[in-house]
Amino acid sequence: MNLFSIIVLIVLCVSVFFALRAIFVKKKGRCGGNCAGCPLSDTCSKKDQQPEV
Amino acid sequence: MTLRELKIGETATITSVGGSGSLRQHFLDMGVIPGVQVTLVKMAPMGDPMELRIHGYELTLRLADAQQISINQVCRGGNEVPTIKEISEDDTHSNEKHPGLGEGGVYHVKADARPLPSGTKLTFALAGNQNCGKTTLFNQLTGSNQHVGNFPGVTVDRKDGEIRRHPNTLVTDLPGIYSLSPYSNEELVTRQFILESKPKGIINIVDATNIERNLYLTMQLMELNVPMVLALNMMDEVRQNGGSIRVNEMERRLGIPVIPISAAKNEGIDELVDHAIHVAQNQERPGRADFCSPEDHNGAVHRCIHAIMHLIEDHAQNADIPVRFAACKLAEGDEQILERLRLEENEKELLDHLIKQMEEERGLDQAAAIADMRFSFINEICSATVIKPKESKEHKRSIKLDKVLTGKWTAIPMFIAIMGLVFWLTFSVLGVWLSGLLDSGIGWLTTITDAGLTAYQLNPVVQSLIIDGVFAGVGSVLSFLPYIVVLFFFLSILEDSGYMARVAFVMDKLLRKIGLSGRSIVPMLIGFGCTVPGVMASRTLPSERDRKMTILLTPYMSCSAKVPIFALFSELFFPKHAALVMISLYVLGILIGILVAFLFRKTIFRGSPVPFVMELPNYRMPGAKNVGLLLWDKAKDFITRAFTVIFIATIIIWCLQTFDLRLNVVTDSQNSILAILAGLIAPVFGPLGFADWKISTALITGFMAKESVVSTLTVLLGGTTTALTAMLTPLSAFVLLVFILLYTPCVAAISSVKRELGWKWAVFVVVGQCIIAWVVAYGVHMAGTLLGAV
Repeated sequence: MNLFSIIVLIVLCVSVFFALRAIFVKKKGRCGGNCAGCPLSDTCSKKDQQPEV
Repeated sequence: MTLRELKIGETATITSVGGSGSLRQHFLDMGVIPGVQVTLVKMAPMGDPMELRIHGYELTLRLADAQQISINQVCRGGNEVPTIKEISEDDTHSNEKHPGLGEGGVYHVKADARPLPSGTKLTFALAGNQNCGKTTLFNQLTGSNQHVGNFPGVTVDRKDGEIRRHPNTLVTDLPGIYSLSPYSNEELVTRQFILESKPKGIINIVDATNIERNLYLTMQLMELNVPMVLALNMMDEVRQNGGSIRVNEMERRLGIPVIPISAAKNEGIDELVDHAIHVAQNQERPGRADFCSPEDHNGAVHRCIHAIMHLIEDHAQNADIPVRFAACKLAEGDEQILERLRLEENEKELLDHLIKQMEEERGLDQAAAIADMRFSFINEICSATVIKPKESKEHKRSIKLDKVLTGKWTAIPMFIAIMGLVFWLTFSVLGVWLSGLLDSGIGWLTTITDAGLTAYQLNPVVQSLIIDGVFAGVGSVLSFLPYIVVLFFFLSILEDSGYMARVAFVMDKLLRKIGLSGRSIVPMLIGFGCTVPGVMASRTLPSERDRKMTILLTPYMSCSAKVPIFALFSELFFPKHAALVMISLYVLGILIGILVAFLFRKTIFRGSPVPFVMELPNYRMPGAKNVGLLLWDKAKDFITRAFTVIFIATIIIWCLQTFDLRLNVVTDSQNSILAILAGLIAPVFGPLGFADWKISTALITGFMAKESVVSTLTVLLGGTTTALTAMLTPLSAFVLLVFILLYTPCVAAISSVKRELGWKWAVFVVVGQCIIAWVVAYGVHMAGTLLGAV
């Protein structure tokens, strides 16, 4: 496997990570509540969102 | 005599409103109160529900509900739209300049004003009736991507956004409601939001063309004692039709700023924002919250409410509920407020006595007496400030259109014709063309990427992952996007124009037989095109029960992606009866859907469909901005899913297709993990007559997208599908089609179900439909064998 293949594979892995994160990681919005399933999550500014501890 | 017995064109006076609980309260809130005149406009084509004219607007009601409303003084005609009266100079040209209240106006209510420290974020609740232009105003205020429609209850979700050019503000768009009674979830959400989130101000938007009914909510919002402005929307329509509203006089009587606006034309919005920010910043609360008159029936209601206010003052303070609001709600019989106040037994007894005394003196029950008190105040204020417009051209146009679109003999043919046109344009003309364009684009990108990766000598397995996995998988699902955008383009036009409310009116009786209300027809019809937008469209349904049930039933409407499978098998096995086979499959899907609906009705969704008390708004031209924002919203939502859930699913399927159990790349697809899994599953299909691993593999890939069934079979059978005739008999081919018709929807549809209802229901759909598909297919196989079919 050449270097290019490894780079492409890494890019794919990173994409998978972000896709999984988008599906599963629950975030807290600025309201303090959970973003999962919240209709406001689209409009909640990202800087205010914190990963759930 | 009851309202049910009224004849078309007859007018009567309501004498009593029967029934109980929240539905009765909803009738009262909609203005169905004793003493009010009501005219029967028409019946739905199937004889139920009925369309009534009351307080100058059109209301629909089921016959069963109408039976609970007693009437007398029946006569022909009457209760017409008011004709214009002469407008005097005084009516149109007041010497007093607007604004009177707020924003540097001539006077302020400052007695209890406590200005907020500068820099405080000003939060606003945007509240109003359904179909009053609330979401259009929200779009004008924030520029946010919020859909607007005439279909009642469209704003099921709460959305918020910053007011443009005012960075330290936040407006929350609340659902369209008629009152603050706990009748629907929307009303509860609004009440809780204002009581618990404590917005710094309320922007109450009312439809100026139907001001009497709209002010009913205004009065309850004012009782909440939160700084508030009143936006009189559609004033352009009132003016054009010769009407007028004395804004300063209304301000003086209500004690809140009143601003005439036209949200659709962006008129008066800046003034509205200035007033809203002023009252919120200075915390100028409504100058009036007391609407009961000591003169009305010897002050029966007035004395009762004020006595309750004294009785509960400390409890209301402890519960942090405005005392006037709490007292009115207790007088009305609101159990939830009673619970929150935690009154002692003595106080509860005293409360009961106060209410009984009021009922005796007033001659009405508690809920009707409070509703009557509110409407009396509204009549008083309207007679002093509102010059009714003549019948608007929008209303005249609606009556003409309704003669055809909801006419007894024309409604259903017109509905079929309109939906047929929408489907034809989506799935045969525009959608197909756009999908073809997108397909070519994706194909071109795939070829270029493939060539580029080959030129850079990428590892063949990684290359296959990118090209055969990601590009093929995500690309095939993305090709649905044009269908979704085109379909929602037409649907939003139908919805915004007011036609969808009529469809619900026309189809209600039919849908009620399976435990749903008329509003569920649209998502289920869309399901024949594609389950994904069908599930997405169910969001417009106001009841959680109806919404869940509709989402679970939509996949039974055979989607267009199954057509290539049906066509292939019909041509191969039933060349002379291909059309009959196709039609029988569609009919079977609907029948099973109906059976499942009956099953749901008796088990997990017991109870009745939501009452059909709904306003029929005038037909209006849909706004391009609103339609555009909706399309963007839907497209963004779908693309997000394509690059998350579907992206992951395509990679998993590719891995299963490419590797064997030792993780070696397979040269023969028969050795892949997918084939092994398919081989494990294959015996399950033995009783159905197709226990072949190739067919099981095709069914598994069909979970990705139904179109994949044909392409997978083609690949596995060496490039030709004629070999199928050797693998299957006509009977087992038909049984296979039945199974494909009913088994789990594709991953895109499941992902939509998951988004709307959560993982639990998504898994329920996958497992439940597979079981139902197997059982029905087995039944068909047995029946066919018994009848001697092979």
